[in-house]
Amino acid sequence: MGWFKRITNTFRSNKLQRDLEEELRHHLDLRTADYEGSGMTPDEARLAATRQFGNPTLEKERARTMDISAWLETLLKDLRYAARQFLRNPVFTIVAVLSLAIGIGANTSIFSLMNAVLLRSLPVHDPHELVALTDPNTAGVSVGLSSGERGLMSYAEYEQIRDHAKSFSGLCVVEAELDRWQVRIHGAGPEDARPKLVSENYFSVLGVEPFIGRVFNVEDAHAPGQNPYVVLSYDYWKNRFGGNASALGTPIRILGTTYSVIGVAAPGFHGENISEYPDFWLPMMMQPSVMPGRDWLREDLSKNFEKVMWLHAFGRLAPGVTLAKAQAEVDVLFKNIIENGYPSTLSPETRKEALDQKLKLREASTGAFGGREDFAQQLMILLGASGVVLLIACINVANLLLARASARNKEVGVRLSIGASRGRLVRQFLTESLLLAFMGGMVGLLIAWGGSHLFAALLAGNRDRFDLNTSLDLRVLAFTMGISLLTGILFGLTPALRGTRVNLNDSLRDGERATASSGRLNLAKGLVVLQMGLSLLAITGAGLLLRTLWNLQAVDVGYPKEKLLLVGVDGTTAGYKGPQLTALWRDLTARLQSLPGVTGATYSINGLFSGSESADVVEVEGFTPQTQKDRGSRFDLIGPAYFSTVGVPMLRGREIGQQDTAAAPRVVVINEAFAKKFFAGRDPMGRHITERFGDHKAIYEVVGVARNLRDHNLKTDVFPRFYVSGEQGMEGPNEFATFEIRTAGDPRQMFEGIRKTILSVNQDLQLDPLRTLTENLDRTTAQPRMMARLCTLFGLVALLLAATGLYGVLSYAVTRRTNEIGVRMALGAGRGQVVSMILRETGIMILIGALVGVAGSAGLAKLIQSRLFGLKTLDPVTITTALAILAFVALVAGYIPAMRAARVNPVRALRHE
Amino acid sequence: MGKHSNDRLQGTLDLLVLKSLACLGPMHGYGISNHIQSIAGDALRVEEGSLYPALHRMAQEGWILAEWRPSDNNRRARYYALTAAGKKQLAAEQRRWDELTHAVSRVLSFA
Repeated sequence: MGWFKRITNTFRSNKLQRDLEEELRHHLDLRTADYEGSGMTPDEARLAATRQFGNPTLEKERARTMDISAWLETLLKDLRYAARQFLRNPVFTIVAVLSLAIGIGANTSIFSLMNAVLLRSLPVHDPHELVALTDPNTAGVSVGLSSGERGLMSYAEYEQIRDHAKSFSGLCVVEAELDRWQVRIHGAGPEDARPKLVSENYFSVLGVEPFIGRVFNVEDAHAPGQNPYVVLSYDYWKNRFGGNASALGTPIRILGTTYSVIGVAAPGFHGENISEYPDFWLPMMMQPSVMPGRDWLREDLSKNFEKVMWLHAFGRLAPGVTLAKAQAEVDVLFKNIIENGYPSTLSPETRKEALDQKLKLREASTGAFGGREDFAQQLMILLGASGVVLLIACINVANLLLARASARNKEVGVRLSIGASRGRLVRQFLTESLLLAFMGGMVGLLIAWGGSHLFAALLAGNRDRFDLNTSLDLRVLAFTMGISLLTGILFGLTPALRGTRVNLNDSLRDGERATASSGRLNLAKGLVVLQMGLSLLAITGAGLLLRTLWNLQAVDVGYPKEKLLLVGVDGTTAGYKGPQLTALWRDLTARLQSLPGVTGATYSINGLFSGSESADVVEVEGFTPQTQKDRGSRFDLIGPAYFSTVGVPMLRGREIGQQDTAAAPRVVVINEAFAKKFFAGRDPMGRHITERFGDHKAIYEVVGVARNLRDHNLKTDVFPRFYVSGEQGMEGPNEFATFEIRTAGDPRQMFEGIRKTILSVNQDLQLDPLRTLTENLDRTTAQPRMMARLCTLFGLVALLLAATGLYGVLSYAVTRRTNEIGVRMALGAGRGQVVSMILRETGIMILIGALVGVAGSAGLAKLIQSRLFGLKTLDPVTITTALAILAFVALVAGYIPAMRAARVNPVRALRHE
Repeated sequence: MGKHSNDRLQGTLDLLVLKSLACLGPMHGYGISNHIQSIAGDALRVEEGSLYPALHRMAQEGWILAEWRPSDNNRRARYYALTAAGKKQLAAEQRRWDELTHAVSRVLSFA
């Protein structure tokens, strides 16, 4: 029958049914009349006619299966029947729905994060047309000589591509980092705001309209410092300005320049980065005004080969231009830019290195997100873990349904014997499991609704403000429906097929025999074994990540971690230059040192675990480099008494002191790793190290060797590093300093005093947020910690679900074997023997499950190897502990049914037989 | 729903119904069932109840046309009439039936 007819039938269903009934009645009446005519009594005639006709209801059913309304009606009937069944077994229903909800909720939460990070398009015009010229998965500012594929670009590079490329209908740039500045709005006191610099065509290229006022246009790109305007984000306008149209024209003061609000961007738009929420945008031309002393709009090629790469470039391809064609054009352009982008004095080697740079175009509909790949990898691991939880939940529900199916043996037998087809019953069973899955999915969505926010917050790790849009959109809903359906079929099909394969003779006879369902028990046990294996996998994974975290936390950094606080101070933005900077650092150090409660203060440019790093090319006296890697070393510029303040002992010589001024001979302290690599047994004291950067160079004499200290990462070996006095730096005095301050008591109590002390020197000094070293370390280990926590959570849930499953199956087995146990006890078996018999079965299941689990864990460990630290791939401690936990939980779950078996009263059990 | 060319039994009932309608003109279900039984006698027992699903299906296929009309005993009855498609189907079914019976009889007479 064609679909069209089937559908038209739906609309005339009732009429169809009435017609059919009338027709059949007509037939029966005529036949009855015939028989009456041949001499039967009316009753006999009716009976004979009916018999000859067959079963009218059945025929009616068969005729009616043909239309879709009947199909829907059957579905409704099945659903009502299923609902009645569920209401009659509330415990079963709640356990099943909750297990599924936990599994589906966990998966949906993780998926909604993946959706936000990997799948969802930016809320801009035609997001699929967007291309990025830089790598939208990176963030920050990179200063120096880059090589290979470019993550970011400089403003000068952008200008040249914008002016010459013909492949794009528009090309814009935006800062690759969200700033945090002190601003004064309408003369009010200073407050924190998060602005972003964008090129004047940013909004038009992305296709974002103003909500009120205007967005930037070509007028806003006159000249550096000449366009003091801001566009507010819709959220900021709502929150800070109460959504008031009078916000237009409001003066906002940032570092001595007053900006005027010219518009509010469209609602929902929060920039090209999916995890950042800028408060407002400023025209690119204002860069020198908001970062005084640093002009990143111009590159002075004659002086420097350092480039400041701080921008992401996004564009739209011109009509008819393919990505490959645009790539070819950009390749040519960029090669030209690079060739002319470095001073002619560059050494041939450096020049060769510099020329090895490339821009890679990529589709950018999902916007920018620093660290996307790493984040996605974590999500994959979590999705795996939550998948295991869901699988275990499915098996639980399958087992529950199997148990119920055998309890319903008789019902099924009756229904089959009065003419229900097996397909009809399978359908009824499947409807029940799908309804269960659907209910689980609904509750799961509720869990996911809260869960996704929680997970997003947990996974934010060391990001300052991390706000992913994890709202449950259609894609997430489709995912939830999809996995609900899949799980419904997954856990429902086997019980449905098994439950309807009924031997009518057996099932209708009164006694339910243990032997009748031994097949079911074997299947159930097999499923429990699988559950054991899966939960072992989950707890091993959690264990590996936990041990990784503990190993990281136990790493010796080489100095006391407590009572040390750090604060970054920027001298350049406040207007300090040259010798003024030297004076500033001396002044600040002295003031901080004399604060009550401070036992020592020094500084370094990179700080400790604060995410900044420096490296340069070095030539070491008496050392011949073998590879390119031998030519470089990391370094830091430090203040006097750095090592004694931080707490690192000197192994040889002296540390950097106050005497090491710009006028004094240049000296250097090296760490053990540097001594080992570059001096390898020779005495480093008094030897010379040449630092090179481009055509700058400085020669230092080694005056000390310090013990290794960890300053930026916990995982790898300590890198060779040399330490130079901040006043003797190759590029002049340091513009920026991170103060390391030792306190007598809790460093957190000192925050306010230290902030005030620094600002008392100059109100305009820009401070990074104050942090203790332990806070910085916590941020370094934030992601492993969150992964460990989440995976532990999933592991525990998996274990709990598996234990429930084991308990259920064993309880069922004991009930089924009441007779057998009764016979054994009547024949003289003691309680202990009965208990050990049941526990032996448990033991066998655990053993097989453990084997499966260990094999799986070996594969798992390999998969997550890159996230492990200080562990062999298959860590014996973790595996043993996981096995012990599993065995313990399983034995507890098995002990209760075993005890119940031991309490079987042999007399009653046998009477039952 | 497919064309049941492989389902001999169903095809047989279809063939009988179509043939009856072709010979006697429009009839209601009871009439068809009586006609088949009176010709075939006890050798071919059609369960009357299964006639109606078949009629319904054939009507859906468009081989026969169903129409309510007043019947002899002053009640309304559904009459079925052969359509052009039904005639074609009858010819096809008959040809298939002949082929089958020929084939069977050939096999049986081979000895």
